[in-house]
Amino acid sequence: MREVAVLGVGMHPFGKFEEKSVTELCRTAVEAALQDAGMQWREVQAVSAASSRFSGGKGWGLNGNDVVEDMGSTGIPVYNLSAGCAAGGNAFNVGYALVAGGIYDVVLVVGGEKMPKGFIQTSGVEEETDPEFRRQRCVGVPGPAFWAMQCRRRMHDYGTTEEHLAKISVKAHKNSVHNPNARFRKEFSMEEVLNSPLVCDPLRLYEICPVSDGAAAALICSADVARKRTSNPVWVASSCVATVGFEGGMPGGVAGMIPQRKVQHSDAAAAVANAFDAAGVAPGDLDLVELQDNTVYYELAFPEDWGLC
Amino acid sequence: MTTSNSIPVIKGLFAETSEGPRLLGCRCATCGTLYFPKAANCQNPDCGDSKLEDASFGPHGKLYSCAVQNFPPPPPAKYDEPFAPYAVGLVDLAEGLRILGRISTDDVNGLKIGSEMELVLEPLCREDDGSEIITWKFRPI
Ligand SMILES: [Zn+2]
Repeated sequence: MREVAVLGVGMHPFGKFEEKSVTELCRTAVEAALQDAGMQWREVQAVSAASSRFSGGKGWGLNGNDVVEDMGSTGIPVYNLSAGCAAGGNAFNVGYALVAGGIYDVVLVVGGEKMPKGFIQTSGVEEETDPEFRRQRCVGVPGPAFWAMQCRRRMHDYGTTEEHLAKISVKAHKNSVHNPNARFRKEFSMEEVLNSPLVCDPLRLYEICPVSDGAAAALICSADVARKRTSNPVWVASSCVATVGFEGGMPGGVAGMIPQRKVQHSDAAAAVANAFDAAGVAPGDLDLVELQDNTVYYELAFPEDWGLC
Repeated sequence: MTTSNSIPVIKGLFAETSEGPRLLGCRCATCGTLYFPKAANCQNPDCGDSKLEDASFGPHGKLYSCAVQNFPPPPPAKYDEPFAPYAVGLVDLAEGLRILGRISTDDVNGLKIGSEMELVLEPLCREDDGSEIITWKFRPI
């Protein structure tokens, strides 16, 4: 495998942008990444594009072909990936593999999405054989209700309190104040969080990710390309993706075997463990962790699963 | 609980038997893995020989966890207007399956993890023509 570097990154701020298309959001992110990398669009050899779902099928999402057309139809290959909340990581991993494997020297990884308001509709088909349709029609468990069940179990097992949960939201919003790409750039008090409406008891409105529009891009390249552009490349130590194991915990449909081991999120745990292995580092070597926090619950659960604390 | 104009939310998932309500699934005779609803083949990667036979589950279980859906869910979920918050839960059945289901209770905030639960077949909602849509739920004993 070849070494892979990140040469440039860019973002469109997160928020609600009624007047912009997802392609426009992506253009902002891609142009920022190109500028950051000191590259021209013509130099990009392939695109790995991410959205929670592919817009060609079920409504919103991103079609990476549109981004290429908008930036200039150079005829390069586009890999469209839809992987729910994991789409960005998934697209980065595919881009990384294409460069590490020697297929391309310069790959654009781009993700963008314009989301409908309210609870995300997780099944877009009226099809009784679709597990997600069955789950929503027969029971009715939007994402936050499922996270809330995991959270309630944690409260039962470890004594996590409503105050513990609220503190995470307060901390996260504090980090947003000086971030020009954050959706809300203001602090929230404990009182505000604890007084926000229960969406799925025990989870409250300010403890769940708001559905937002936005886009992000990264230009990744081979070591040869990176060394010609910069004396101090940012190397990718590893990039790994995993799916849930057979005995991985919570059922993805409406039922599953009661797990024998106590790993709640075996997909994320396996990806992180593999990434540590591939990079040859241990949890104690990390200075900064950014993690997926659909809701405050995950910020408690994931670091424990991963051996960070 | 069910009447003549009662319609199952999806056919073939559950049945009222002489011994009470049951969920209809299957079991792999080779590795013992249980499935609800029925699976087309055994999904255990360590199972070399998928041999699925019909099996039914319920009615006894314990509440693994629960939550309250405080706002109306998006389609294709169903509910009667005006919307009333409902409880959902994961119930560990005696047979070894963990099942997702609505919780049948008037006290959505009073549920306790570890409580004994029983399977019931109850209305999910009423259609415009007056028919009742029936689904599986769990009720604290
Ligand atoms: Zn089997």
